[in-house]
Amino acid sequence: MAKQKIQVLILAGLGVYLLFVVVSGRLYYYINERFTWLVVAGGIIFLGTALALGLEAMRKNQPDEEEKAHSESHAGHEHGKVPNWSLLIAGIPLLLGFLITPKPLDATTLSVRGVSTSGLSVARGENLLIEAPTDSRNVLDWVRAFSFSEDISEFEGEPVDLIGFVYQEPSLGENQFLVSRFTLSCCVADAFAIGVRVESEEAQDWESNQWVHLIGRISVQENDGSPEAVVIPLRMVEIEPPPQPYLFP
Amino acid sequence: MSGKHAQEAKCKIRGMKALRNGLGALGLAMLAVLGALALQNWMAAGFLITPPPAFSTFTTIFLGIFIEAAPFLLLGTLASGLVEVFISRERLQGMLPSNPVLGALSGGLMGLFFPVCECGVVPLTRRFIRKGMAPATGIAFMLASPVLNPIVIGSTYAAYGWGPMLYLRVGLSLLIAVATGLVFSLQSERGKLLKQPLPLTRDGHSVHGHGADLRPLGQRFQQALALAAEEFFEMGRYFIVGAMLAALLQTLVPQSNLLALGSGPVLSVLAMIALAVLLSICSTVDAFVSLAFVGSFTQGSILAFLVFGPMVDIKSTLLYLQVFKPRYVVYLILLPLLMTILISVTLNLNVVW
Repeated sequence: MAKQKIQVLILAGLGVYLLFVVVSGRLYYYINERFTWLVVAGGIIFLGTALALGLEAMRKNQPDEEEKAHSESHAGHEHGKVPNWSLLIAGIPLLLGFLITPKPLDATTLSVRGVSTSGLSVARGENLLIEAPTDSRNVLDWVRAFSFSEDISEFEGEPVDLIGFVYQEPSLGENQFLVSRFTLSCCVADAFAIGVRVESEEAQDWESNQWVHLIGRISVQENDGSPEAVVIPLRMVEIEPPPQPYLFP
Repeated sequence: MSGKHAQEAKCKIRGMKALRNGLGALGLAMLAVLGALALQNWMAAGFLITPPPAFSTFTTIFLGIFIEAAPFLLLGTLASGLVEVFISRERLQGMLPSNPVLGALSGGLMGLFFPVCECGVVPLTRRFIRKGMAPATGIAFMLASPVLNPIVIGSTYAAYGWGPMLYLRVGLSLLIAVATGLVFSLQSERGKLLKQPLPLTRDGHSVHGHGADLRPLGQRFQQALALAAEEFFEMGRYFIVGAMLAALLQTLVPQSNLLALGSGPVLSVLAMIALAVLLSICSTVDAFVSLAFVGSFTQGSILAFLVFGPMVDIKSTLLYLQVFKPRYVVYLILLPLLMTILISVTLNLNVVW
C-alpha cells in the first residue's frame, strides 16, 4: 500500500510540475508554445489520476488479501507490482524540474550542436517561406530568405533589425561572429540553431551568449568564391534575454 | 493450520507489515522533504542549484522531451487500462472476417479502436487467439496496433506535423504488419503458434470486462485507473532512461561525430534500428525521443526507428518468447526487420524529403 501512496505522490508531483511550468512561464524554455494547452491538460489529468488513485488507496482496508487476489487475476499480463526503481526513475524529472535552475538552450551548446547560416533542418512536414516585410524579419526569416534565394546579391544594402544571441563561431574570422536563435518545431529535442553573420571591427568586444538588438545593413561579400551575406551593424546594443527565446518555423 | 503455526504466521505478517510501513513512511518522508524543497524553491525563486552549463543543457533537453511526452504517455496508459476493463472481447471477435487477407487487414486496423500499449498487446493477442481469432488477424493486430493507435498518431503528429514522417510511419507499419500476418496465415492451426495449449473449455478468469462483469461501474473504473498507473510507471522508466540518453547524446556528442554514422544510407538505418531495440521506448512517446536525432540521421533511419521499435524491442521480444513458440518468434522478428531495412534504405537512396 505504501508503494501505491508513493505512486500517488509522484503522479501528483508530476501534475503540479506541468502546471507550474506553464504558470511560471518556464514552458517557453522547453517546447513550442502551440502545445501549451497540451501541457495544461496533461497536468490536470495527472492530478486527476493521482486523486482517483489516492481515493482508492484510502478506501482499501485489507491490502494483503485484495492485492493477492488482484495479482492472481493478472496472470495473463505482465503487470505485476511496480518495482521500486521504477518509482525512483519516475522521480527524476521531478528532481531535475524543481531543483535545477531552468535555462533555455544557449550558445554553450552550439559547439556540440552546430549552427547553420544557410539551411533549415526540416523535422516537420511544412517548411514555408513566409514573406515578412524587410525590417521586421527575424533571424529565421533571414536565413530562410538566404536559403531560398537563387542570387544572394539581391539582398545587398537591405536594412536589418533583429535580435539574437551572440555566438563567437570558431571558424569565422576575427571580425566576424554570429547572431543566432534556436528554432523549435516541437520541443528542444529538435532545436536547430541558425544565425546571421555579422562583421564588425569590435567583434571581439562581444561575448558568446549575450543577447543583442542588431540594426544594420546587408553586405554581400565574396568568400571562397561564393557570395555570402553579412550584416554590417549600424547599432548593436545588449538586451535582456527575451522570455520566449525560440523561434518556430 | 495448527494453532502454533497460525500464531507464528501472524507474527511474521505483522512484522513484515511493520517493515513495509516503516519503508513506506521513510519514502513518504523523503518525498515530503522534496516537496517542501520544491515549495520553498517556488516561493523564494532563488533556492535553485545552478550546475555547470553542460548539465543545464542536458536538463533542458531532457525536460523538454519529458514535458512534451508525459501527457501522451499517461493518456496511452489510461486508454489501455480502460480498454482492458471495459471492452468485451467476444463481441469484437464475432465481427472479424475469416478470409486471411481481409482478416489481416482488419486485424491491423483494429488498433485504431483498441488503444493498447505495446506491452499490453501481446497478452491481449494471446487471449484473442486462444478464443478463436485467426493467426493472420492476431499477428497483424499485434504488430500494427502499437502504431495504428489514436494516441500514437497524435504524438507523432505533435512531433512531426502533417508530413511524410507521419504518413509513412502509419502506412508502413500497417503494410509490414499485414504482410507478416499473411505469412503467418500459412500456419492455419492456431494451437501450433502458442506455447500454451488451447483451452478445451472457456477461460476461467473473468475479472476483466467480459460480458458478464457485473461489478459496479465505479469499481471497474478504479481498476482501470490502477492498471493505468502501473503501466505508466513500468513504461515510464524506459521512456525516461531513453530521454536521458538522447539528451546526453545531444549535450556531449558533437554532431560532426555522428554524421559518419548518421548520414550513411544503410549504416544509419541499422544504427537507428539497434537503438530502437535497445531503448524499448513505448510507441506513444518514442517520436519525441527520435526528434533528438533528426539533425544528424537520415530520414529513412528515423522512420525505421519509428516503425520497427514498436514491433520489436527487448521488452516485446521477452513477451513474445513467453507467448509464442520460439520458431515463430524468429519470424516475428525477422520479417518486420527485413522489410523495415529494405524500405528505409530504399527511401534513403531514392527519395529526398
